[in-house]
Amino acid sequence: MGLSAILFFLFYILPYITALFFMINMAIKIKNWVKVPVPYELTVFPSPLTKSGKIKILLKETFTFRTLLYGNNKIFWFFSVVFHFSLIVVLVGHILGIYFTGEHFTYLGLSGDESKLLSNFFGNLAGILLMISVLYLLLRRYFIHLIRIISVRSDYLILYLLIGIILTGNAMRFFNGVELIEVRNYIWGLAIYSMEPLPKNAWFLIHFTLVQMFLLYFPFSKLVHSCGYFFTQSLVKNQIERQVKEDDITTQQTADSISGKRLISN
Amino acid sequence: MTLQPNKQLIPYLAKDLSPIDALVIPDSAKPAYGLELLERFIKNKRALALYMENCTRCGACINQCHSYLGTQDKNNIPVMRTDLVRRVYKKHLAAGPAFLRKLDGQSNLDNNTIDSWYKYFYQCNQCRRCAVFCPKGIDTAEVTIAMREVLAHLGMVPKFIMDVTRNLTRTGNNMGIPLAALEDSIDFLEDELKEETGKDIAIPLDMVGAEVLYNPSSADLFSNTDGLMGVAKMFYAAGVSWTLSSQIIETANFGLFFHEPTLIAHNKKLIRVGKQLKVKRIVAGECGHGWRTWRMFTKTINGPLPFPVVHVFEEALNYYRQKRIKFNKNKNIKTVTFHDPCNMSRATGIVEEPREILRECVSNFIEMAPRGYESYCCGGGSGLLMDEDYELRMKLGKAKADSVMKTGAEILCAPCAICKAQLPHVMKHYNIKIEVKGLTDLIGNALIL
Repeated sequence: MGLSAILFFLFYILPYITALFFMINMAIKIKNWVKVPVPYELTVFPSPLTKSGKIKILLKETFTFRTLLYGNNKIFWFFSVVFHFSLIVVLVGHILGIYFTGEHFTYLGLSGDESKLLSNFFGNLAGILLMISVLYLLLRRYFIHLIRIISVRSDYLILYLLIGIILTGNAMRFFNGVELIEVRNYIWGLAIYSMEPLPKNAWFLIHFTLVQMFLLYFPFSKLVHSCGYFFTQSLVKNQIERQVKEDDITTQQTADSISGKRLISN
Repeated sequence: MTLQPNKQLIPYLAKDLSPIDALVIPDSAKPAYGLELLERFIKNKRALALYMENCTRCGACINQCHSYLGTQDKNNIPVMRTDLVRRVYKKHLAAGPAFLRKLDGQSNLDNNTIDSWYKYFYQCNQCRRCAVFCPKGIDTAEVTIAMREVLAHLGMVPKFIMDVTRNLTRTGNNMGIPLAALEDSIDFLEDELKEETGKDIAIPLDMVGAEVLYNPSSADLFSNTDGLMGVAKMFYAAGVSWTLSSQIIETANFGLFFHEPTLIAHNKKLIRVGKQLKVKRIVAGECGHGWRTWRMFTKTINGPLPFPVVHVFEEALNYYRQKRIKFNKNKNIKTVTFHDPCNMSRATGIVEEPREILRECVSNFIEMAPRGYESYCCGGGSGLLMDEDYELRMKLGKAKADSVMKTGAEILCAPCAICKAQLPHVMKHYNIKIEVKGLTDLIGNALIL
């Protein structure tokens, strides 16, 4: 099997396998979770009282990682937030940046060059932040005794895969720029089943292959927490109506009660 | 969903805490049967299915578990505790190619693994503190409950828990009090009340048509009698007709800890008795986990109810707000601190109600830290009250002892029968001079009749 055969497999066959495999397995996983019954109420208090309250709490939790902060683990909280937010920027940046080849900010009234500059700025920033935060996540697994104890091989594998992906991505960004047009044509070609030439950039090829490895491992690893998170959280943050409604302590009364003030009696 | 009681109700055959010998299931058959049970549970409890896959081992739970803080055993870290099962799951039940599942650390399901389950799932108090601090909201207590049930079906149940459950099924209370003793005890308490207050305060038994069915912890009739007397005074002062039931004089429900059929049977019994006595509401006494089953599980088990099940603190606060009862806080002049039982704070959200009452009926109330939803467990939760485990219990109580020590209070108000049984030992063990009392004791003391 020659090099060209391997390249053909990795870049014109495997992407379809990866995409299908990823989507089917995640769908099965989620379907299984939905199918399993919840026999009893698992709410952990303080609980929201209404459905909308629950959604509010879940959104707050998702975007601020409130629980981690609450646990008095501020450094870890900081890097987790940085990691996940730069991940969002990077993912969105990939879609916009490649599709519009960096000119998406023209829709906000910037010129093409300015848009590319801004796009690069965000990309560079997110790339660096992502690298730093992943390094922190890896180092804490090595150097914090208890974290080392609870870690297993897959924890490291995922982090090394991420580091590989981020390093090659950043290499394209800082050392050996890839032509976004080429990337766009190639990816778009995959989408419409037409074989377009590969971008002439070794970093891109490694980057793309690693991402495929990552996605293939995704459904069988702890990475499913990206979807499962919403399931686990909605179990413990389920809204609970109070049984004795007329005697419900109002927010003001609770606040007074906490501060030790005498309750307003009616 | 109800897990069908297995055709062999093995928990009732379990004999001893240690050695953890199989009784019906021979050792050789345990792994295969255990795996079958585990699979069944994962297919029937969404929480379990999710927890097997969604933990990222971030370590946020490490320093939040009193069990780990007290024992310093790495398997008592919540993530490691769950890993005892997760490894088996990854080996035998998870989807995906074997070489990838291997990376998650696998273990075969053999008798050593089952023994480690027995050891570590009986070192978890099911306090759910980890669920408060887990960024994914993983509640290790759910895993503990499920795994203890698996163990129960394998014939592995501590003798103490087994005895209590047997008492519960036989007499309707944990202490195994027969009717005659119950009547005696009530007579005695009525005499005491007469002596103390000079008033005829009745403790009615099996009165049909009373407004309230009060369901105390059975310990209230023998060891923590001040609590029940306090409640009797409260109902007397508020002018509410109430009754106890001789069929069910136990608000605790050990079924929650290890055996769902027991949980369901006991829960249904109370509702049945409530309907028989035609009461307007059921008031649950001072018990943490029992209250969790009444508040959170009753509707699931029984469907819609004709009456609410409320906690005695909600009831008392109600009376106080309606000015039906009054307190003289000078009756309780010692400094009081409040211990939040896990199942009242995290599991049912009764945190401000008892404090509101406390501020009215004691003159010196100080908070301990951590308080409320973050409070540490007393170390006796989930039925770990056996003498055989005394050393472990003291270790589990260490985190709580530290927080109590810092307050310097003279009375520790711990409104839960298990906490009341566990904390005096813990306080003595760590040389803290403090009296452990229930909140109803303090209410009874401060009530103006």
